[in-house]
Amino acid sequence: MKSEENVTKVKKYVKVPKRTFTLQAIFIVFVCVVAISDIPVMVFGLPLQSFIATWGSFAVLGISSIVWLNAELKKEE
Amino acid sequence: MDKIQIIYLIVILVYLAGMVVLGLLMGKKVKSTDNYYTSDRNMSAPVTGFSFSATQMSSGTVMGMPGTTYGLGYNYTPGNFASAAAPWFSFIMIGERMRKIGERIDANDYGDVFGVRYGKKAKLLYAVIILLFYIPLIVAQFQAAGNIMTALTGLPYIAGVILIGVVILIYTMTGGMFAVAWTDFVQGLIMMLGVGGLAAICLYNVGGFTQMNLQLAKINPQLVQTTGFVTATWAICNIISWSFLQIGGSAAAIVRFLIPKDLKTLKIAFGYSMFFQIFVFVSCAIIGLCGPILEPTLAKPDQIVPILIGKFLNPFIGGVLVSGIIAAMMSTVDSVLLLCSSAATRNIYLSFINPKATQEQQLKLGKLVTLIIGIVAILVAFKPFTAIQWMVAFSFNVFASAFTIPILYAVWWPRASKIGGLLGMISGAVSSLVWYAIGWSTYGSFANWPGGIWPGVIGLIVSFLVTTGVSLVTKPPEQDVVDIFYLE
Repeated sequence: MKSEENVTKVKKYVKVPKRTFTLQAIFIVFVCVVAISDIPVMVFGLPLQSFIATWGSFAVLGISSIVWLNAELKKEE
Repeated sequence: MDKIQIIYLIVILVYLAGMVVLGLLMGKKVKSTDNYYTSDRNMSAPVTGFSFSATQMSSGTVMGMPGTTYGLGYNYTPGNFASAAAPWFSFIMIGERMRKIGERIDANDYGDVFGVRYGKKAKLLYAVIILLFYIPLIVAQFQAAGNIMTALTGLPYIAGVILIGVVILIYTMTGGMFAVAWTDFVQGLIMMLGVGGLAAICLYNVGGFTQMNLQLAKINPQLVQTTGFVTATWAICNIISWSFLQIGGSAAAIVRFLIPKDLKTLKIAFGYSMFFQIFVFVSCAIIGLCGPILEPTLAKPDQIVPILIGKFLNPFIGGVLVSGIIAAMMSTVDSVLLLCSSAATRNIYLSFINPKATQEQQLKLGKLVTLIIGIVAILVAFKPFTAIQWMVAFSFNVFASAFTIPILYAVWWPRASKIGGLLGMISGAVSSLVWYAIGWSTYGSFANWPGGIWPGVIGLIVSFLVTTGVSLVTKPPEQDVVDIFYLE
Protein backbone atom coordinates (compact mmCIF):
# COMPACT_ATOMS: atom_id res chain seq x y z
CA MET A 1 0.00 0.00 0.00
CA LYS A 2 1.28 3.38 -0.89
CA SER A 3 2.03 5.61 2.08
CA GLU A 4 0.03 8.51 0.55
CA GLU A 5 -3.20 6.55 0.97
CA ASN A 6 -2.79 6.65 4.77
CA VAL A 7 -2.27 10.36 4.86
CA THR A 8 -5.46 12.25 5.58
CA LYS A 9 -5.78 15.37 3.47
CA VAL A 10 -5.36 18.43 5.71
CA LYS A 11 -8.34 20.74 5.46
CA LYS A 12 -7.49 24.39 5.08
CA TYR A 13 -10.08 26.78 6.50
CA VAL A 14 -10.42 30.47 5.83
CA LYS A 15 -8.86 32.98 8.19
CA VAL A 16 -10.47 36.31 8.96
CA PRO A 17 -8.33 39.04 7.28
CA LYS A 18 -7.86 40.83 10.59
CA ARG A 19 -5.44 43.46 9.28
CA THR A 20 -7.79 44.59 6.50
CA PHE A 21 -10.85 44.63 8.75
CA THR A 22 -8.98 46.51 11.47
CA LEU A 23 -7.80 49.17 9.02
CA GLN A 24 -11.37 49.57 7.76
CA ALA A 25 -12.63 49.97 11.34
CA ILE A 26 -9.91 52.47 12.23
CA PHE A 27 -10.73 54.60 9.17
CA ILE A 28 -14.47 54.74 9.82
CA VAL A 29 -13.94 55.49 13.55
CA PHE A 30 -11.48 58.24 12.56
CA VAL A 31 -14.07 59.85 10.26
CA CYS A 32 -16.69 59.63 13.03
CA VAL A 33 -14.35 61.28 15.57
CA VAL A 34 -13.42 64.05 13.12
CA ALA A 35 -17.09 64.63 12.24
CA ILE A 36 -17.98 65.37 15.87
CA SER A 37 -14.86 67.47 16.55
CA ASP A 38 -14.57 71.24 16.47
CA ILE A 39 -11.22 72.23 14.94
CA PRO A 40 -10.59 76.00 14.78
CA VAL A 41 -8.82 75.90 11.40
CA MET A 42 -10.39 76.95 8.10
CA VAL A 43 -9.53 75.49 4.67
CA PHE A 44 -11.26 76.48 1.40
CA GLY A 45 -13.80 78.42 3.45
CA LEU A 46 -14.60 75.39 5.61
CA PRO A 47 -13.85 74.31 9.18
CA LEU A 48 -11.17 71.60 8.98
CA GLN A 49 -13.44 68.88 10.41
CA SER A 50 -16.01 69.47 7.64
CA PHE A 51 -13.31 69.31 4.97
CA ILE A 52 -11.76 66.08 6.30
CA ALA A 53 -15.06 64.31 7.11
CA THR A 54 -16.33 64.95 3.57
CA TRP A 55 -13.72 65.63 0.90
CA GLY A 56 -10.69 64.14 2.67
CA SER A 57 -12.60 60.94 3.34
CA PHE A 58 -13.57 60.62 -0.33
CA ALA A 59 -9.87 60.93 -1.26
CA VAL A 60 -8.73 58.31 1.26
CA LEU A 61 -11.49 55.99 0.10
CA GLY A 62 -10.37 56.25 -3.52
CA ILE A 63 -6.69 55.74 -2.76
CA SER A 64 -7.25 52.82 -0.36
CA SER A 65 -9.50 51.12 -2.92
CA ILE A 66 -6.78 51.31 -5.57
CA VAL A 67 -4.18 49.96 -3.12
CA TRP A 68 -6.41 47.04 -2.06
CA LEU A 69 -7.35 46.18 -5.64
CA ASN A 70 -3.74 46.20 -6.82
CA ALA A 71 -2.69 43.94 -3.96
CA GLU A 72 -5.54 41.50 -4.64
CA LEU A 73 -4.87 41.34 -8.38
CA LYS A 74 -1.19 40.66 -7.71
CA LYS A 75 -2.27 37.75 -5.48
CA GLU A 76 -4.42 36.39 -8.30
CA GLU A 77 -1.42 36.41 -10.65
CA MET B 1 -47.43 71.24 -21.62
CA ASP B 2 -45.05 73.86 -22.99
CA LYS B 3 -42.35 73.33 -25.63
CA ILE B 4 -39.58 72.53 -23.12
CA GLN B 5 -41.73 69.98 -21.31
CA ILE B 6 -42.50 68.24 -24.59
CA ILE B 7 -38.77 67.99 -25.39
CA TYR B 8 -38.10 66.50 -21.93
CA LEU B 9 -40.88 64.00 -22.46
CA ILE B 10 -39.55 62.94 -25.88
CA VAL B 11 -36.02 62.39 -24.54
CA ILE B 12 -37.37 60.36 -21.61
CA LEU B 13 -39.59 58.28 -23.89
CA VAL B 14 -36.60 57.50 -26.13
CA TYR B 15 -34.64 56.41 -23.05
CA LEU B 16 -37.51 54.23 -21.78
CA ALA B 17 -37.94 52.64 -25.20
CA GLY B 18 -34.22 51.82 -25.21
CA MET B 19 -34.57 50.04 -21.86
CA VAL B 20 -37.52 47.99 -23.14
CA VAL B 21 -35.61 46.96 -26.29
CA LEU B 22 -32.56 45.98 -24.22
CA GLY B 23 -34.76 43.94 -21.87
CA LEU B 24 -36.48 42.14 -24.73
CA LEU B 25 -33.13 41.30 -26.35
CA MET B 26 -31.84 39.88 -23.07
CA GLY B 27 -35.06 37.95 -22.63
CA LYS B 28 -33.96 35.58 -25.39
CA LYS B 29 -31.22 34.25 -23.09
CA VAL B 30 -33.61 33.26 -20.29
CA LYS B 31 -34.32 29.53 -20.30
CA SER B 32 -34.27 28.56 -16.60
CA THR B 33 -34.41 30.05 -13.09
CA ASP B 34 -30.60 30.03 -12.98
CA ASN B 35 -30.58 32.22 -16.12
CA TYR B 36 -33.36 34.35 -14.67
CA TYR B 37 -31.90 35.05 -11.21
CA THR B 38 -28.10 34.82 -11.63
CA SER B 39 -27.49 35.10 -15.41
CA ASP B 40 -25.53 31.81 -15.33
CA ARG B 41 -22.83 33.42 -13.14
CA ASN B 42 -21.04 34.64 -16.24
CA MET B 43 -21.21 38.44 -16.06
CA SER B 44 -18.29 40.76 -16.90
CA ALA B 45 -16.57 43.09 -14.41
CA PRO B 46 -17.95 46.46 -15.66
CA VAL B 47 -21.53 45.17 -15.75
CA THR B 48 -21.22 43.56 -12.30
CA GLY B 49 -19.61 46.65 -10.73
CA PHE B 50 -21.97 49.21 -12.24
CA SER B 51 -24.97 47.01 -11.60
CA PHE B 52 -24.04 46.66 -7.91
CA SER B 53 -23.74 50.40 -7.48
CA ALA B 54 -26.72 51.37 -9.62
CA THR B 55 -28.87 49.02 -7.55
CA GLN B 56 -27.62 50.41 -4.28
CA MET B 57 -28.25 53.98 -5.48
CA SER B 58 -31.85 54.97 -5.84
CA SER B 59 -33.98 58.08 -6.17
CA GLY B 60 -32.97 58.53 -2.53
CA THR B 61 -29.44 59.09 -3.83
CA VAL B 62 -30.02 61.46 -6.72
CA MET B 63 -33.05 63.34 -5.36
CA GLY B 64 -33.28 62.61 -1.63
CA MET B 65 -29.61 63.01 -0.79
CA PRO B 66 -29.13 66.42 -2.49
CA GLY B 67 -32.46 67.42 -0.91
CA THR B 68 -31.30 66.48 2.59
CA THR B 69 -27.91 68.13 1.99
CA TYR B 70 -29.81 71.26 0.88
CA GLY B 71 -31.34 71.49 4.35
CA LEU B 72 -28.47 70.24 6.51
CA GLY B 73 -25.34 71.28 4.53
CA TYR B 74 -22.09 69.75 5.81
CA ASN B 75 -24.03 68.23 8.72
CA TYR B 76 -25.12 65.61 6.19
CA THR B 77 -22.25 65.30 3.67
CA PRO B 78 -20.29 62.70 5.69
CA GLY B 79 -23.31 60.54 4.81
CA ASN B 80 -22.48 61.03 1.12
CA PHE B 81 -18.95 59.81 1.79
CA ALA B 82 -20.31 56.87 3.82
CA SER B 83 -22.63 55.84 1.00
CA ALA B 84 -19.71 55.89 -1.43
CA ALA B 85 -17.84 53.59 0.98
CA ALA B 86 -20.57 50.92 0.86
CA PRO B 87 -18.84 48.63 -1.69
CA TRP B 88 -15.58 49.19 0.16
CA PHE B 89 -17.19 47.29 3.06
CA SER B 90 -19.47 44.91 1.16
CA PHE B 91 -17.01 43.68 -1.50
CA ILE B 92 -14.04 43.42 0.85
CA MET B 93 -15.84 41.94 3.85
CA ILE B 94 -18.15 39.41 2.21
CA GLY B 95 -17.77 39.59 -1.60
CA GLU B 96 -15.21 36.86 -2.16
CA ARG B 97 -16.72 34.50 0.43
CA MET B 98 -20.22 34.99 -0.97
CA ARG B 99 -18.99 34.20 -4.49
CA LYS B 100 -17.28 30.97 -3.38
CA ILE B 101 -20.08 29.79 -1.10
CA GLY B 102 -22.73 30.80 -3.63
CA GLU B 103 -21.15 28.53 -6.23
CA ARG B 104 -20.84 25.62 -3.79
CA ILE B 105 -24.49 25.68 -2.70
CA ASP B 106 -26.00 27.14 -5.89
CA ALA B 107 -27.21 30.25 -4.05
CA ASN B 108 -29.33 32.94 -5.68
CA ASP B 109 -29.56 35.29 -2.69
CA TYR B 110 -28.99 35.66 1.08
CA GLY B 111 -31.98 33.37 1.62
CA ASP B 112 -30.20 30.38 0.07
CA VAL B 113 -27.08 31.11 2.14
CA PHE B 114 -29.10 31.45 5.36
CA GLY B 115 -31.04 28.27 4.51
CA VAL B 116 -27.92 26.09 4.35
CA ARG B 117 -26.08 27.86 7.18
CA TYR B 118 -28.90 28.51 9.70
CA GLY B 119 -31.70 26.18 8.56
CA LYS B 120 -34.99 26.42 6.66
CA LYS B 121 -36.68 28.64 9.27
CA ALA B 122 -34.01 31.28 8.68
CA LYS B 123 -34.60 31.02 4.94
CA LEU B 124 -38.34 31.54 5.43
CA LEU B 125 -37.78 34.45 7.80
CA TYR B 126 -35.47 36.11 5.28
CA ALA B 127 -38.08 35.78 2.54
CA VAL B 128 -40.84 37.23 4.74
CA ILE B 129 -38.71 40.23 5.78
CA ILE B 130 -37.70 40.89 2.17
CA LEU B 131 -41.25 40.72 0.83
CA LEU B 132 -42.68 42.80 3.68
CA PHE B 133 -40.16 45.63 3.80
CA TYR B 134 -39.07 46.04 0.21
CA ILE B 135 -42.55 47.18 -0.81
CA PRO B 136 -42.12 50.63 0.86
CA LEU B 137 -38.84 51.04 -0.99
CA ILE B 138 -40.38 50.23 -4.37
CA VAL B 139 -43.26 52.57 -3.60
CA ALA B 140 -40.82 55.37 -2.73
CA GLN B 141 -39.06 54.89 -6.07
CA PHE B 142 -42.31 55.04 -8.04
CA GLN B 143 -43.29 58.19 -6.13
CA ALA B 144 -39.97 59.75 -7.06
CA ALA B 145 -40.66 58.88 -10.69
CA GLY B 146 -44.14 60.43 -10.52
CA ASN B 147 -42.83 63.60 -8.85
CA ILE B 148 -40.09 64.17 -11.37
CA MET B 149 -42.29 63.46 -14.37
CA THR B 150 -44.81 65.99 -13.07
CA ALA B 151 -42.20 68.62 -12.23
CA LEU B 152 -40.41 68.48 -15.56
CA THR B 153 -42.77 67.18 -18.21
CA GLY B 154 -46.10 68.34 -16.85
CA LEU B 155 -47.38 64.77 -17.13
CA PRO B 156 -49.98 63.98 -14.43
CA TYR B 157 -48.39 62.30 -11.38
CA ILE B 158 -50.28 59.02 -11.78
CA ALA B 159 -49.47 58.79 -15.50
CA GLY B 160 -45.77 59.18 -14.66
CA VAL B 161 -45.91 56.40 -12.07
CA ILE B 162 -47.71 54.05 -14.48
CA LEU B 163 -45.38 54.79 -17.40
CA ILE B 164 -42.18 54.10 -15.46
CA GLY B 165 -43.72 51.14 -13.60
CA VAL B 166 -44.86 49.39 -16.76
CA VAL B 167 -41.48 49.79 -18.49
CA ILE B 168 -39.65 48.29 -15.49
CA LEU B 169 -42.10 45.39 -15.30
CA ILE B 170 -41.70 44.59 -19.00
CA TYR B 171 -37.91 44.32 -19.04
CA THR B 172 -37.56 42.71 -15.59
CA MET B 173 -40.17 40.03 -16.29
CA THR B 174 -38.77 39.32 -19.73
CA GLY B 175 -35.03 39.38 -19.22
CA GLY B 176 -34.49 38.62 -15.52
CA MET B 177 -30.94 39.23 -14.24
CA PHE B 178 -29.53 39.54 -17.80
CA ALA B 179 -31.82 42.49 -18.47
CA VAL B 180 -31.53 43.95 -14.97
CA ALA B 181 -27.71 43.88 -14.93
CA TRP B 182 -27.33 45.28 -18.45
CA THR B 183 -29.98 47.98 -18.03
CA ASP B 184 -28.34 48.85 -14.68
CA PHE B 185 -25.04 49.25 -16.52
CA VAL B 186 -26.53 51.63 -19.08
CA GLN B 187 -28.53 53.41 -16.38
CA GLY B 188 -25.34 53.80 -14.34
CA LEU B 189 -23.60 55.54 -17.22
CA ILE B 190 -26.56 57.87 -17.70
CA MET B 191 -26.62 58.62 -13.94
CA MET B 192 -22.93 59.56 -14.03
CA LEU B 193 -23.50 61.82 -16.97
CA GLY B 194 -26.56 63.36 -15.30
CA VAL B 195 -25.36 64.14 -11.79
CA GLY B 196 -21.76 64.80 -12.85
CA GLY B 197 -22.87 67.32 -15.46
CA LEU B 198 -25.27 69.06 -13.10
CA ALA B 199 -22.67 69.24 -10.30
CA ALA B 200 -20.14 70.87 -12.65
CA ILE B 201 -22.70 73.44 -13.80
CA CYS B 202 -23.74 74.22 -10.20
CA LEU B 203 -20.13 74.65 -9.10
CA TYR B 204 -19.45 76.96 -12.05
CA ASN B 205 -22.52 79.08 -11.25
CA VAL B 206 -21.62 79.59 -7.59
CA GLY B 207 -18.06 80.61 -8.50
CA GLY B 208 -16.08 77.50 -7.55
CA PHE B 209 -15.44 75.30 -4.53
CA THR B 210 -14.26 77.90 -2.01
CA GLN B 211 -16.98 80.35 -3.04
CA MET B 212 -19.58 77.64 -2.53
CA ASN B 213 -18.42 77.16 1.06
CA LEU B 214 -18.13 80.88 1.81
CA GLN B 215 -21.61 81.63 0.45
CA LEU B 216 -23.08 78.69 2.31
CA ALA B 217 -21.60 80.02 5.56
CA LYS B 218 -23.14 83.45 4.82
CA ILE B 219 -26.61 81.90 4.50
CA ASN B 220 -26.18 80.10 7.82
CA PRO B 221 -22.83 79.34 9.53
CA GLN B 222 -24.25 76.01 10.76
CA LEU B 223 -24.42 74.79 7.14
CA VAL B 224 -20.62 74.43 6.98
CA GLN B 225 -20.36 72.62 10.33
CA THR B 226 -20.60 68.82 10.72
CA THR B 227 -22.89 69.10 13.76
CA GLY B 228 -25.35 71.71 14.99
CA PHE B 229 -28.44 70.87 12.97
CA VAL B 230 -27.76 67.27 14.03
CA THR B 231 -26.36 65.83 17.25
CA ALA B 232 -22.98 64.07 17.51
CA THR B 233 -24.66 60.64 17.86
CA TRP B 234 -26.81 61.34 14.79
CA ALA B 235 -23.69 62.26 12.80
CA ILE B 236 -21.95 59.03 13.84
CA CYS B 237 -25.02 56.92 13.02
CA ASN B 238 -25.24 58.65 9.62
CA ILE B 239 -21.68 57.52 8.80
CA ILE B 240 -21.95 53.96 10.14
CA SER B 241 -25.38 53.31 8.67
CA TRP B 242 -24.68 54.32 5.07
CA SER B 243 -21.32 52.51 4.96
CA PHE B 244 -20.92 49.35 7.06
CA LEU B 245 -24.63 48.61 7.42
CA GLN B 246 -25.04 48.38 3.64
CA ILE B 247 -23.81 44.79 4.02
CA GLY B 248 -27.24 43.84 5.32
CA GLY B 249 -29.19 46.86 4.14
CA SER B 250 -28.57 46.42 0.42
CA ALA B 251 -29.55 42.78 -0.02
CA ALA B 252 -30.66 43.41 -3.61
CA ALA B 253 -27.24 44.79 -4.56
CA ILE B 254 -25.26 42.06 -2.76
CA VAL B 255 -26.78 39.47 -5.12
CA ARG B 256 -24.36 40.91 -7.70
CA PHE B 257 -21.52 39.09 -5.92
CA LEU B 258 -23.02 35.87 -7.28
CA ILE B 259 -23.09 36.82 -10.97
CA PRO B 260 -19.47 37.45 -12.11
CA LYS B 261 -17.74 34.64 -13.97
CA ASP B 262 -14.87 34.25 -11.45
CA LEU B 263 -13.18 35.79 -8.41
CA LYS B 264 -10.80 37.94 -10.43
CA THR B 265 -13.77 39.43 -12.29
CA LEU B 266 -15.43 40.16 -8.95
CA LYS B 267 -12.37 42.04 -7.72
CA ILE B 268 -12.11 44.11 -10.90
CA ALA B 269 -15.84 44.79 -10.56
CA PHE B 270 -15.06 46.31 -7.15
CA GLY B 271 -12.83 48.87 -8.90
CA TYR B 272 -15.60 49.88 -11.31
CA SER B 273 -18.07 50.07 -8.45
CA MET B 274 -15.84 52.32 -6.32
CA PHE B 275 -15.15 54.69 -9.22
CA PHE B 276 -18.87 54.96 -9.94
CA GLN B 277 -19.83 55.44 -6.29
CA ILE B 278 -17.26 58.13 -5.53
CA PHE B 279 -18.10 60.04 -8.73
CA VAL B 280 -21.86 60.04 -8.10
CA PHE B 281 -21.77 60.78 -4.36
CA VAL B 282 -19.26 63.64 -4.74
CA SER B 283 -21.56 65.06 -7.43
CA CYS B 284 -24.66 64.70 -5.24
CA ALA B 285 -22.90 66.43 -2.33
CA ILE B 286 -21.91 69.37 -4.57
CA ILE B 287 -25.46 69.71 -5.97
CA GLY B 288 -26.96 69.68 -2.46
CA LEU B 289 -24.44 72.22 -1.15
CA CYS B 290 -24.93 74.58 -4.11
CA GLY B 291 -28.72 74.30 -3.77
CA PRO B 292 -29.30 76.88 -1.01
CA ILE B 293 -27.11 79.39 -2.91
CA LEU B 294 -28.79 78.92 -6.29
CA GLU B 295 -32.37 78.37 -5.04
CA PRO B 296 -32.56 79.86 -1.54
CA THR B 297 -36.33 79.66 -1.03
CA LEU B 298 -37.33 76.10 -1.83
CA ALA B 299 -40.42 74.68 -0.11
CA LYS B 300 -39.67 71.05 -1.04
CA PRO B 301 -35.90 70.32 -0.85
CA ASP B 302 -36.44 66.93 -2.59
CA GLN B 303 -37.17 68.95 -5.75
CA ILE B 304 -33.80 70.71 -5.86
CA VAL B 305 -32.35 68.51 -8.62
CA PRO B 306 -35.19 68.82 -11.15
CA ILE B 307 -35.48 72.54 -10.42
CA LEU B 308 -31.77 73.14 -11.05
CA ILE B 309 -31.98 71.11 -14.27
CA GLY B 310 -34.88 73.28 -15.44
CA LYS B 311 -33.04 76.47 -14.47
CA PHE B 312 -29.62 75.91 -16.06
CA LEU B 313 -29.83 73.47 -18.97
CA ASN B 314 -31.18 73.46 -22.47
CA PRO B 315 -34.09 71.03 -22.75
CA PHE B 316 -32.29 68.28 -24.73
CA ILE B 317 -29.38 68.02 -22.27
CA GLY B 318 -31.81 68.51 -19.39
CA GLY B 319 -33.86 65.59 -20.70
CA VAL B 320 -30.79 63.35 -20.59
CA LEU B 321 -30.08 64.43 -17.02
CA VAL B 322 -33.67 63.79 -16.00
CA SER B 323 -33.34 60.34 -17.57
CA GLY B 324 -30.34 59.87 -15.27
CA ILE B 325 -32.52 60.45 -12.22
CA ILE B 326 -35.19 58.11 -13.52
CA ALA B 327 -32.41 55.59 -14.25
CA ALA B 328 -31.35 55.68 -10.58
CA MET B 329 -34.86 54.83 -9.54
CA MET B 330 -35.35 52.12 -12.18
CA SER B 331 -32.06 50.37 -11.47
CA THR B 332 -33.12 49.90 -7.86
CA VAL B 333 -36.68 48.81 -8.52
CA ASP B 334 -35.77 46.19 -11.13
CA SER B 335 -33.26 44.54 -8.77
CA VAL B 336 -35.62 44.65 -5.81
CA LEU B 337 -38.41 43.13 -7.88
CA LEU B 338 -36.09 40.34 -8.94
CA LEU B 339 -35.00 39.73 -5.36
CA CYS B 340 -38.61 39.61 -4.12
CA SER B 341 -39.42 37.19 -6.92
CA SER B 342 -36.48 34.99 -5.92
CA ALA B 343 -37.53 35.13 -2.24
CA ALA B 344 -41.08 34.04 -3.04
CA THR B 345 -40.22 31.43 -5.66
CA ARG B 346 -37.07 29.76 -4.35
CA ASN B 347 -37.14 30.50 -0.62
CA ILE B 348 -40.85 29.88 -0.04
CA TYR B 349 -42.49 27.98 -2.93
CA LEU B 350 -39.62 25.64 -3.83
CA SER B 351 -38.47 25.10 -0.22
CA PHE B 352 -41.82 24.69 1.56
CA ILE B 353 -44.70 24.23 -0.89
CA ASN B 354 -43.52 22.34 -3.97
CA PRO B 355 -39.92 21.10 -3.73
CA LYS B 356 -40.43 19.13 -6.97
CA ALA B 357 -41.43 22.14 -9.05
CA THR B 358 -39.97 22.09 -12.54
CA GLN B 359 -37.78 24.87 -13.91
CA GLU B 360 -40.68 25.98 -16.07
CA GLN B 361 -43.06 26.22 -13.11
CA GLN B 362 -40.51 28.16 -11.07
CA LEU B 363 -39.88 30.54 -13.93
CA LYS B 364 -43.59 31.18 -14.48
CA LEU B 365 -44.16 31.77 -10.78
CA GLY B 366 -41.12 34.05 -10.56
CA LYS B 367 -42.45 36.25 -13.35
CA LEU B 368 -45.95 36.25 -11.85
CA VAL B 369 -44.63 37.39 -8.45
CA THR B 370 -42.66 40.15 -10.16
CA LEU B 371 -45.84 41.31 -11.86
CA ILE B 372 -48.00 41.21 -8.70
CA ILE B 373 -45.50 43.09 -6.51
CA GLY B 374 -44.96 45.66 -9.26
CA ILE B 375 -48.69 46.31 -9.69
CA VAL B 376 -49.29 46.56 -5.91
CA ALA B 377 -46.41 49.05 -5.55
CA ILE B 378 -47.71 51.15 -8.47
CA LEU B 379 -51.18 51.29 -6.90
CA VAL B 380 -49.84 52.26 -3.46
CA ALA B 381 -47.65 54.93 -5.07
CA PHE B 382 -50.75 56.66 -6.48
CA LYS B 383 -51.00 58.49 -3.15
CA PRO B 384 -47.93 60.73 -2.97
CA PHE B 385 -45.96 61.09 0.27
CA THR B 386 -43.04 63.40 1.00
CA ALA B 387 -39.47 62.78 2.22
CA ILE B 388 -38.35 60.04 -0.17
CA GLN B 389 -35.02 59.63 1.58
CA TRP B 390 -36.68 58.69 4.87
CA MET B 391 -38.91 56.06 3.25
CA VAL B 392 -35.83 54.47 1.73
CA ALA B 393 -34.14 54.70 5.12
CA PHE B 394 -37.03 52.79 6.77
CA SER B 395 -36.61 49.68 4.59
CA PHE B 396 -32.86 49.97 4.73
CA ASN B 397 -32.69 50.11 8.54
CA VAL B 398 -34.82 46.99 8.96
CA PHE B 399 -32.71 44.95 6.49
CA ALA B 400 -29.45 46.22 7.97
CA SER B 401 -30.58 45.27 11.47
CA ALA B 402 -31.77 41.83 10.47
CA PHE B 403 -29.07 40.66 8.05
CA THR B 404 -25.71 42.38 8.67
CA ILE B 405 -24.43 40.29 11.60
CA PRO B 406 -25.97 36.94 10.48
CA ILE B 407 -24.41 37.21 6.99
CA LEU B 408 -21.00 38.28 8.34
CA TYR B 409 -21.00 35.34 10.72
CA ALA B 410 -22.31 33.00 8.02
CA VAL B 411 -19.22 33.62 5.91
CA TRP B 412 -16.56 34.14 8.63
CA TRP B 413 -17.48 32.55 11.99
CA PRO B 414 -17.83 28.73 12.10
CA ARG B 415 -19.12 28.82 15.69
CA ALA B 416 -22.30 30.76 14.78
CA SER B 417 -25.15 28.34 15.43
CA LYS B 418 -28.47 27.80 13.67
CA ILE B 419 -30.53 29.19 16.52
CA GLY B 420 -28.05 32.06 17.01
CA GLY B 421 -28.38 33.17 13.39
CA LEU B 422 -32.17 32.88 13.44
CA LEU B 423 -32.59 34.83 16.69
CA GLY B 424 -30.04 37.39 15.50
CA MET B 425 -32.23 38.13 12.47
CA ILE B 426 -35.43 38.33 14.53
CA SER B 427 -33.96 40.45 17.34
CA GLY B 428 -32.29 42.84 14.89
CA ALA B 429 -35.46 43.46 12.86
CA VAL B 430 -37.74 43.71 15.92
CA SER B 431 -35.46 46.05 17.89
CA SER B 432 -35.16 48.32 14.87
CA LEU B 433 -38.95 48.48 14.47
CA VAL B 434 -39.44 49.06 18.21
CA TRP B 435 -36.96 51.95 17.99
CA TYR B 436 -38.94 53.45 15.10
CA ALA B 437 -42.11 53.12 17.22
CA ILE B 438 -40.43 54.81 20.19
CA GLY B 439 -39.30 57.63 17.88
CA TRP B 440 -42.84 58.01 16.57
CA SER B 441 -44.46 58.05 20.04
CA THR B 442 -41.85 60.52 21.36
CA TYR B 443 -41.48 62.93 18.45
CA GLY B 444 -44.43 62.10 16.17
CA SER B 445 -41.94 61.40 13.36
CA PHE B 446 -40.22 58.42 11.71
CA ALA B 447 -37.07 60.50 11.23
CA ASN B 448 -36.29 61.34 14.88
CA TRP B 449 -35.15 58.93 17.58
CA PRO B 450 -34.11 59.18 21.25
CA GLY B 451 -30.53 60.42 21.54
CA GLY B 452 -30.30 60.73 17.76
CA ILE B 453 -29.45 57.00 17.53
CA TRP B 454 -30.64 55.45 14.27
CA PRO B 455 -32.79 52.28 14.33
CA GLY B 456 -30.26 50.42 12.18
CA VAL B 457 -27.52 50.98 14.74
CA ILE B 458 -29.76 49.81 17.59
CA GLY B 459 -30.68 46.73 15.53
CA LEU B 460 -27.03 46.05 14.73
CA ILE B 461 -26.01 46.14 18.41
CA VAL B 462 -28.93 43.94 19.52
CA SER B 463 -28.39 41.49 16.66
CA PHE B 464 -24.66 41.29 17.43
CA LEU B 465 -25.26 40.56 21.13
CA VAL B 466 -28.00 38.00 20.49
CA THR B 467 -26.29 36.15 17.60
CA THR B 468 -22.98 35.96 19.48
CA GLY B 469 -24.41 35.10 22.90
CA VAL B 470 -26.90 32.49 21.69
CA SER B 471 -24.32 30.87 19.38
CA LEU B 472 -21.86 30.42 22.24
CA VAL B 473 -24.38 28.56 24.43
CA THR B 474 -26.05 26.43 21.72
CA LYS B 475 -24.94 23.54 19.54
CA PRO B 476 -22.35 24.45 16.89
CA PRO B 477 -23.10 23.69 13.22
CA GLU B 478 -22.48 20.24 11.69
CA GLN B 479 -19.01 19.57 10.28
CA ASP B 480 -20.28 19.26 6.70
CA VAL B 481 -21.82 22.74 6.92
CA VAL B 482 -18.57 24.12 8.33
CA ASP B 483 -16.67 22.54 5.43
CA ILE B 484 -19.00 24.05 2.81
CA PHE B 485 -18.75 27.53 4.28
CA TYR B 486 -15.23 27.82 5.63
CA LEU B 487 -12.91 25.65 3.55
CA GLU B 488 -10.59 27.73 1.39
